[in-house]
Amino acid sequence: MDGTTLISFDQVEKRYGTTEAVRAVSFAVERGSLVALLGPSGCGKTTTLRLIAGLEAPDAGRIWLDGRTVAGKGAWVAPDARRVGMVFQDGALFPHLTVAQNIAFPLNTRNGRGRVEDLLALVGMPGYGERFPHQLSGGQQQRVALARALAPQPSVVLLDEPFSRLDAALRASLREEVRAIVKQTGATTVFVTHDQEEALSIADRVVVMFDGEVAQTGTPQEVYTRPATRAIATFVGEANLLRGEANGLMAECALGRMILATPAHGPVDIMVRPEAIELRAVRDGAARIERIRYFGHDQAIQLCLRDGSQLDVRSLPRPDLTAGQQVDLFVRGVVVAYPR
Amino acid sequence: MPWLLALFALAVSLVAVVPLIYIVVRALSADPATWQRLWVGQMPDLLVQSAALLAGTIAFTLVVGIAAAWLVERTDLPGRGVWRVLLALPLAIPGYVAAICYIILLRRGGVVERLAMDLGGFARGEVPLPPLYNLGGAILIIGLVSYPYIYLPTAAALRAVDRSLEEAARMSGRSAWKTFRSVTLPLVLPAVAGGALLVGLYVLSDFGTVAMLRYRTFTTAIYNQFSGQIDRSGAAILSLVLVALALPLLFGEGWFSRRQRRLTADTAWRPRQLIQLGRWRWPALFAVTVVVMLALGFPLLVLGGLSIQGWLFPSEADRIWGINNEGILAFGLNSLVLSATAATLATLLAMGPLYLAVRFPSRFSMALLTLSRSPFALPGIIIGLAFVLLLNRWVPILYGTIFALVFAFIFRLLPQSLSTGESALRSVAPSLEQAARTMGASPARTFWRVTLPVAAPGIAASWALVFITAMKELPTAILLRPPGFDTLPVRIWAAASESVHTQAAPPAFLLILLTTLTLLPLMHSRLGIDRAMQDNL
Repeated sequence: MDGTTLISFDQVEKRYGTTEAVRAVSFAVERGSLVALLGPSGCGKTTTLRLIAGLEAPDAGRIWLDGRTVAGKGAWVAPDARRVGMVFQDGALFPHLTVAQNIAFPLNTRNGRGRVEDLLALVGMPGYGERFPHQLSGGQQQRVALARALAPQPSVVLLDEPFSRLDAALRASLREEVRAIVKQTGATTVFVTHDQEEALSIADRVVVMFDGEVAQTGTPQEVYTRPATRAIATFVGEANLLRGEANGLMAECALGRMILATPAHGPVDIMVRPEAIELRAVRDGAARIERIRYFGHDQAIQLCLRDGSQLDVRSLPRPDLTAGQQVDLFVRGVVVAYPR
Repeated sequence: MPWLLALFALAVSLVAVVPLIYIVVRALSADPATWQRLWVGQMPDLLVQSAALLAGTIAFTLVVGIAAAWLVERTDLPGRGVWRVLLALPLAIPGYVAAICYIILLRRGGVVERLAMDLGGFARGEVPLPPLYNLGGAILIIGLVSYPYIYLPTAAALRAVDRSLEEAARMSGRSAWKTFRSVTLPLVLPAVAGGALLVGLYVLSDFGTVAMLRYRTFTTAIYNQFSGQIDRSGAAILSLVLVALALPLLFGEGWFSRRQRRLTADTAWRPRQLIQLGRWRWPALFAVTVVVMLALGFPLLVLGGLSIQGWLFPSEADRIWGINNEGILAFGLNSLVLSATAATLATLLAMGPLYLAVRFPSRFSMALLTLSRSPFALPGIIIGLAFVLLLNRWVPILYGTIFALVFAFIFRLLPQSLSTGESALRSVAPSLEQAARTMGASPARTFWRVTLPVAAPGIAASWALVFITAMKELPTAILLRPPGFDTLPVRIWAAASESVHTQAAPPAFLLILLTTLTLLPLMHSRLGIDRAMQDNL
């Protein structure tokens, strides 16, 4: 346990009746970092967050928080004694209290007033103190919830899918703001999401969870470009999986010879991201364009290879490509192979 | 707005206010000397007595009701599933039956004294018995049968509080207890307050309990004025004052039940974490057991025991009173038929103003709903009184007939049908009815084929609650029953007013058996009693 680690899970398990929500989960969170718990719904990510908060007690394993054991091995620290702030999915603002009273709730009454104003300014809502929660929009409610979580200067801030109830445009702008705010306060932040774009765009590190287990931990780049399993590869982005034959750092497949990120041998599935493929229009190419879906900022192209297999490609809008055209293709960079 | 429905609703609500208007007119047109006599001679005493009973009972039920709801919903109390149901059942026990049971237990020569003499070696008259015929006794007994009015809505509200609010409070550094005090309690307060006001209405309208315990309140004073005087305007004057006292409670209750809905939302899908009682486990279990024993166990045991004793070894008094199986069953049948008829008709009549107010909300339809609800402020004794006076004056031929009795019962039950039925109708999404209309169904057919079946569980629950009230109803029946038509409450009342309480045991036992058995299935249904309770009773 070194000084830079703030949260650490060691073989933590949690069951609800007979369902195992979390099994043998281990990971560590560095002080001051912004970590995303990413996974499909029901993967145990929210339970993991609630275990950090102390809202659930683990059935086995051990949890460290800020240098002490908070759960496991007979130890138990109640949620109110953990110095953890939390933003709930729906904000969980107290409907019978004003915005200012909500933010002052975790504070000692004495130094409350000025701090509330500071926090409202921090989340970009000065002057809203006297409103009631039901008079605020969804985005404003989440800002107030964040201010309340930050009020007692917690060592850790937890966010449980805080943007899931907002519309797409608001979600994108608010998550940038939230990142800026928590970075400004220096609090370590863990947030739960099932939206890979959200996780990749604002997290320093991503913990990918499947079926109650940690599937991979890494930077957003690592998780996207070197997914540890096929399931992660398809969950964090679009992926083409091609049958091939590996020999050390080289592999052969329908697209020709490629360079692998890590050595492998024998029959493999090779994962190629759609945007890593470049196309060149030729008269007699290796593939034919089946269909083009145009999105404005880019386009998705569906290819049919000579052997009949399908391939997805992303490219910038190109006027020279049309459906039915023959193309040649190249793969940029290294690719990942999974033994078959 | 369909004019046929509007006309029906208008008729119901206009007829519903007639007794109230009549009482007001009669009281205001009374001889000023009568006012003077009552105002000076009776009013100060009655006000003090009623206020003391009101405050004491509300305080008692608040403590018992909130504590019971918290223990059952939020802690690891052993057997909480069973206690949850048992704690609600005293709702089925009329106050006068509980009073009779404790009189049998605690009077001189009663069960407790004889047991103490036999087992404890006390001499006759030396056994220390807690006095029942005073304020404390009235508070205890009314409190024991009315705390479910607080327990049920509080428990429902505790279940409905969004659990992330409590978790947010814990994350903000509050301990479990402080979280309960600063977040949970304020959130459930509207439900608690609404329940407390219902207890208040119960206390003000109660006649049987205070009559048996000889505690003087407005209802007993009205009865005395009515039965002992030739000029009955004195009773009308006292009634007017009592209604004036009850109205603020009624409006307050409506206000709180509307607040309730805005404050809570249910998003819980995880099982709530229960508070570990630890070493308080056994004291808590003991306390809950005591409440259930006092409110439910003793009445059932005492009355059941006496009924069986009278049946196996009939005494001289039993022979004089003619207590036998056929007699009791006949009274039971009378009660059942009367209550079922009145409850069904009240439920049907309530549908008119309710459907109008739910589907065509306007100032007109809301006014009709308020008008038809106004008899809620009228205790049974006043409804009975108004009917006697009205019938004698305008249609004396109906006085003393079964029609008059059924009619008065419908009035007594209508406000309750309106309250409990409203949530049932509101649970039907308008889109369901609109879909039926687009498929070519007429409004009447839509109501019959879509609205009614979807709302059926709620309406059934509402009917059952109204039915229980009808089964328990004493004063209306005393004042209006035709000669020879005895219901169970009337029979109990007759025996108790002759001070032969043991003779009241068999009908009382049968009565609470029937009401409890009606209430029991409601406790299991999800659309059941606590939903109805939350939308006031």
